[in-house]
Amino acid sequence: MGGLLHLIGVAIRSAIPAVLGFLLATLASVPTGIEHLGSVMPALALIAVYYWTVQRPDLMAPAAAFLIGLWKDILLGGPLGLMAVLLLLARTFVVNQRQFVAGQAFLVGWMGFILLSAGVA
Amino acid sequence: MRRPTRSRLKSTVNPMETLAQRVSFVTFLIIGLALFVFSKFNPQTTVQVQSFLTDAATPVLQAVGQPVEAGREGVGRLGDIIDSVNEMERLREQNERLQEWRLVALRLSEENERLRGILRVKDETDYPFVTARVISDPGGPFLRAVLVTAGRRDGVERRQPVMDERGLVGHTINVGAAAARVLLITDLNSRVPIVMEETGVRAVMEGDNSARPRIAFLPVEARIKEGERVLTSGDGGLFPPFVLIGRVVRTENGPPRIQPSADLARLGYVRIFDYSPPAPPSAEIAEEAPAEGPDAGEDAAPNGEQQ
Repeated sequence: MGGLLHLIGVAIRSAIPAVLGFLLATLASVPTGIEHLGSVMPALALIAVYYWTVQRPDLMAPAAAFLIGLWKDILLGGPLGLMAVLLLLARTFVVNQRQFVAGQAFLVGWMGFILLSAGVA
Repeated sequence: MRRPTRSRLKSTVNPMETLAQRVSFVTFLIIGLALFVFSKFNPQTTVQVQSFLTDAATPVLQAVGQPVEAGREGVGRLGDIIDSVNEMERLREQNERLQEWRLVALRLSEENERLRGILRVKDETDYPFVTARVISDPGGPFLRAVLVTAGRRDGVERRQPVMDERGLVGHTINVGAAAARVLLITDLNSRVPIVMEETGVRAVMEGDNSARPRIAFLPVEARIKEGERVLTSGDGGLFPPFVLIGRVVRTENGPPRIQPSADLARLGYVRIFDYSPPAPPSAEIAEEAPAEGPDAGEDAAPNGEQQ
């Protein structure tokens, strides 16, 4: 019984990065009514993918990054697959560069994100 | 963090896992590129798929948007309160001025009606419409489009003009059962035939994803006035004639642009008009130029002026 509960707990915790990614992707599209927010709105989905890839790449699988991107494509109505491929590439890039950011200071992590978002944009 | 850093690092050096991730990376990359290429070369199918997906996205956006909607009112209120004294002063003055204008307008409208009656002018400005709520921001880096809560079941079709209470917003590009996507006039793909109110110059308004669309195809000898109002010309038949779009504004360096009247940065409710251009005088011409056929291909990258 305890084992089962433990498993369920692990499953829920493992799903958090992906779920958060979806949530942030959606949140970025919700109309806030705040003027010009659109132009300064950070790429929330990219933040989620970046952060979780650095912290726990095993929980931000390529599939998760891809699906978050696809969902973003659906919300934005742009060409299907564009954001999906971008986030997937971003994830792979971060995984390969991960040794430079993982376990480093907060600031270094942000520097990495700046580089990454410049690349994506 | 629950786990110590070392075990986290270790978990990623597991060769089997990296291999699995490599494989899944390549798989998804191929799927994504295939999707992308497919949507580029099959715009017709893509429009249908997107219409379907639009419906899928709507309930999620509405659910997530609910709390934001509540907060939105709060933010608006806060701004109002801070500025209320100035605002009240301004409104009082404006009210006095408007009272005078009201009398003028009443007299003019009466006269206008009488003259129209004498001349038997056909009223061209009254189109049926549905009102819909906007449920997404035009957030993406590549597209200026929003989702609205009206679709086929409300009589909305593709290529219908959309306005808010102040001016032209855009036109519908894909329509699901209960939701539709509206391409804003600021989008890179938006082209609207325009006419200047005072100088009568005709041109095309060309979106470039910035807040102020460009003026294209302006005749060389044309002189346009700063601040004059810009209306749709009705050429091309997508938009009805004489709908307010905005004003001509001067830019720091470069040609004048158009400042849209519609509050595109924070759309609340919009009206979708059921407008179809007056039929050409001869049936033959109408048959020779099918409305949807040849230009349907361009509609994934929607285009304001088709004809």
